[in-house]
Amino acid sequence: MEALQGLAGGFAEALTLTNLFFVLVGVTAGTLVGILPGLGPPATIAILLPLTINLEPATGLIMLAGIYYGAKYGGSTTSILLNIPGESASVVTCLDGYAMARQGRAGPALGIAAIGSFVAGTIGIIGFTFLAPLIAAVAINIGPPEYAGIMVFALTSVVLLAGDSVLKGLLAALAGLLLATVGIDIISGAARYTFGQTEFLDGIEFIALSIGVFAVAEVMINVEQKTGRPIFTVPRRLRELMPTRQDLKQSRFAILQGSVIGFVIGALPGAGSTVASFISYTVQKRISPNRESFGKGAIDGVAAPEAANNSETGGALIPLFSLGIPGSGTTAILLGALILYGLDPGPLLFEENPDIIWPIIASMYLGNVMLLVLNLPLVPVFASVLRIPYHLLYPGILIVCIVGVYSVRNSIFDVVLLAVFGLVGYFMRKLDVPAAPLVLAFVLGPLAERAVRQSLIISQNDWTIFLTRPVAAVFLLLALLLLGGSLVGRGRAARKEVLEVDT
Amino acid sequence: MNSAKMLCTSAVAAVTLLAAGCGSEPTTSGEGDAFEAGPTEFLVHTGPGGGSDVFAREVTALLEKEQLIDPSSWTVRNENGGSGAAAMVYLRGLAGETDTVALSTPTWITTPLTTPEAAVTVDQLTPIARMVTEPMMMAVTADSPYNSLEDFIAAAEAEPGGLVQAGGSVTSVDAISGGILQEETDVKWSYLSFEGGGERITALLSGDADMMFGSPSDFTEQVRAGDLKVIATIGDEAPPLFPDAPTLADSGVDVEVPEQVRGVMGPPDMPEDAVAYYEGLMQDLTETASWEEFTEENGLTTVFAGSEEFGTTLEEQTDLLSSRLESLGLLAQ
Amino acid sequence: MVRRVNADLLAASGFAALALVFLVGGRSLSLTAQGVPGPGLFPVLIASVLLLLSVLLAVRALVLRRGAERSRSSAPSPTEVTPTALADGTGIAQHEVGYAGPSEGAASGGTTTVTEPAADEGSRSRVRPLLLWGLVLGSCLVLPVLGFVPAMLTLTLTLVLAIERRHDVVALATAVVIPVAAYTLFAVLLDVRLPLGPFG
Repeated sequence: MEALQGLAGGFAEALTLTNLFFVLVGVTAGTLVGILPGLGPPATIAILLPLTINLEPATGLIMLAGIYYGAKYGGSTTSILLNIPGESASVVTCLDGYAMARQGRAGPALGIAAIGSFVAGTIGIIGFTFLAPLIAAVAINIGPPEYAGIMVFALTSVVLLAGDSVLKGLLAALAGLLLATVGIDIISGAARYTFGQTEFLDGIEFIALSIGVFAVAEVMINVEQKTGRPIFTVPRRLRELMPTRQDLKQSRFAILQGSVIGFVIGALPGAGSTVASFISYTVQKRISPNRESFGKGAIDGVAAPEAANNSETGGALIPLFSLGIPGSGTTAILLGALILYGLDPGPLLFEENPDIIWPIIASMYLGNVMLLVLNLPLVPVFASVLRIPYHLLYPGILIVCIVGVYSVRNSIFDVVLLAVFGLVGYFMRKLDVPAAPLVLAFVLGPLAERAVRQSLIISQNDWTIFLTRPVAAVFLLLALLLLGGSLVGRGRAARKEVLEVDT
Repeated sequence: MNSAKMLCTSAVAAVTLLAAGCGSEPTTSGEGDAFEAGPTEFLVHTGPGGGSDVFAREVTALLEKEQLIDPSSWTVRNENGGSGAAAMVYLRGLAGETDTVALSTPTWITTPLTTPEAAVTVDQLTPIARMVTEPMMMAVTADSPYNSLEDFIAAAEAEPGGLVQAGGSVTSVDAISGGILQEETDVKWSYLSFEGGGERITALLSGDADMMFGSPSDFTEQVRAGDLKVIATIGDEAPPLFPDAPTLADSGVDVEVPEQVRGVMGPPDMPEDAVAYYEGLMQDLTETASWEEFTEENGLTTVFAGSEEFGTTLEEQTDLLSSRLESLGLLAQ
Repeated sequence: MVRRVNADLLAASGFAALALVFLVGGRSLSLTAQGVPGPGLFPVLIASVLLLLSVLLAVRALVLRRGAERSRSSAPSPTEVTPTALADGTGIAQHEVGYAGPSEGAASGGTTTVTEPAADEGSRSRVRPLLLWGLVLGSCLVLPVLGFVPAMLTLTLTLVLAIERRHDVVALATAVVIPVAAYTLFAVLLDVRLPLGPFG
């Protein structure tokens, strides 16, 4: 098979000392920068792009690919340890990851994130190698109505994530949707809810919102108690700092399912890793034997989104390399890099430059391996960060948050927003309003709205387009089933309630 | 306890002052003394990898290659936000400075016209040099029934509002050009906005959209691969990459459309000698062989003009765009 | 119970306020544009639903309060700990005891008590988070004026001295080291542009 031949040749090229060195530099730099919140893969690559310009195309791109992967690995670390979502995809990891950290299980959480990422990344690259043309052909046909279906499905799941109080979860989600409408509406050109502020033209900065509502609010909550000791108990024995065999067993399917879902969704231009990680989380929650503990520290609740997040990388490269179409912010930067190196990203990229592309793909496998080897031993080290007495830890957390938010667009406005949302998040916690629906709806909302309006432009305001396009209809049906199923479940539980009280 | 507190406070004060020293940077020159070429920031309004960003980096690389500037003395600075608003606000804030220049595109004209929050208009900044232009091209799928602009217009006439043009924001140049054509030919089609170029091409390939306008370099790869075909030039001169694409005049729709001019601008009140320096630098660049190669590869047409002429171009384009935006109902004021 | 009701009422008013801001602020946005949904449709729709549901939340809270007041005389049933599901990313350690079962219109009538953790469980202060917040906001506002390191130093040192009230060397040293280390890491190594204030 041509692909295998190409790959073999790629490995031969990639296994040179120079290339290996740059893979290592790339993944390490990527991980370190990815750990810092606000500096997700796009920002990381942007920062390190100038360094790679002076290298040979293949080498430079290998390093960039390494950075891409590394940043993904690093992003989950702060999510799990400190409840700081570094980018939108990490929000889902915070849910169970941080819960596990609070239970003293940060080590297993980090470990499973690393292992899951490795497996998923590998699956993603394998998928890319062998399925790229097929997936590309399919991805082309995913248009606004299909996106609308997927987003509606995702939004429905968001509300159901609220658990105990669906009403409050719904309110939070609606609030998130509303906040997301701030900014220029691309379809009509109107500036919505900007209140005269230039900074609002692009909308409320996501990082300011998410880090404020999650991390800053968390610090404020923790500060309520006089902090003399570490607030988390971290086990001392190495065995307890790593995932157990039981953990691995429980996560097996989650990792598999996350890899597939992440890969497929990653291949859709414009979908993004948040959707991938979130849908994978929701799916896992439905099918997991320990679904009751989702949100409170279920290990497969960390494994699934982490896997999805990483295999999405492989998927996102498909439209980029096969069609020259960047599917996300990060791939757009990679596209720019390709152009700067004199390569023309387009459908003929593979055919005309196999000697550059295959080594890049081969080195992604290598990078993935390196990341696992680098990260696993560091898990106990990272987990031990939580041993630091909280009063020494949280000023650092705050400063890192501030820098992270500021670095997105050098804006003090955003930092002030961070503070504002920190307060909002704090009050939400005190009033028992769940924060995750707010943040997730904030991300998904604009995608949904845009997709719906685009679909109606295509169909000339004919709403049946959502039913006549099969993929869209399927997702809408799934959303309905999801909604129906949960309501029935709650109805039953409520009835049981009432019966119990009567007896 | 008191002395300890005092000690702490003075320690704080001392450390603060010391640390503040850590945050210092050599001050920039340009305060009335004669201009000296030095490290320069090249400002763009897109993020890394965006059209302007890549162009700016390539220009920088060419300047270095032709030894017109010292290696690594120019850096590209991204201020992306508000479709150019952030970059323009930033540039305005550097009034009188000589170490920053910016790459301007038609967006710099349209954004202030459509969003009052943008606050800075192009005439407040200093034009330095007009560099390149490129017409928009009309692209359809390779198996599309339309082979010319006239075909498309005829089909749109038969189905008012039924055909779809994919493009960016509704205030972008491709939308405005589309609007101008519709007005001129008295025909209507719908406009579908996508944020990324990739999504637009996908919409075209999947059939959700029937045609799109874009830069020649947006389509070359797809055309080469046989997925798309370019059927018309939306302008009065066919570009070197697609020399056979009929112009608007050829297609019977002789109307003026906005030009996709890229130029270099400087902050307000930029000293004359600095302007002259950058102007001369750019002029020298456009006369080199590597520049010719670069523009040819990317389908750009060099239209070098100095500061004054560029200023006139900007005024003309502003008038054209604002009258068109007005008739499209998108003008902010 | 009362606490829960008050919390819900507060939350409801917060959401209602947000909805009103968007409804009023969106008056100028058109609901339809050329036949298809315009920029105003989605926000207005969402804001309306938000308003409606916040009223619903308030009503539910009031109804339950009346229900609880009526059954106050009956012997309190054993409180059940239902770990509240935690989409807010907190994990466990919720100190509130929630309703037994879903809270949707469930006029289950079971009494539930919300226990505030005992005050002796380490002094739980309401003031400290807000003070902290004020400090964070303040240091952010002076950030462009003072520059990164001084502003952050003010933050950490005030934190340590005024809020944490520690004077030990480790705490002070950390307070000094963190901003400097952050500056070195970000501004120097990673080339992130941080505000330099009057010294840059």
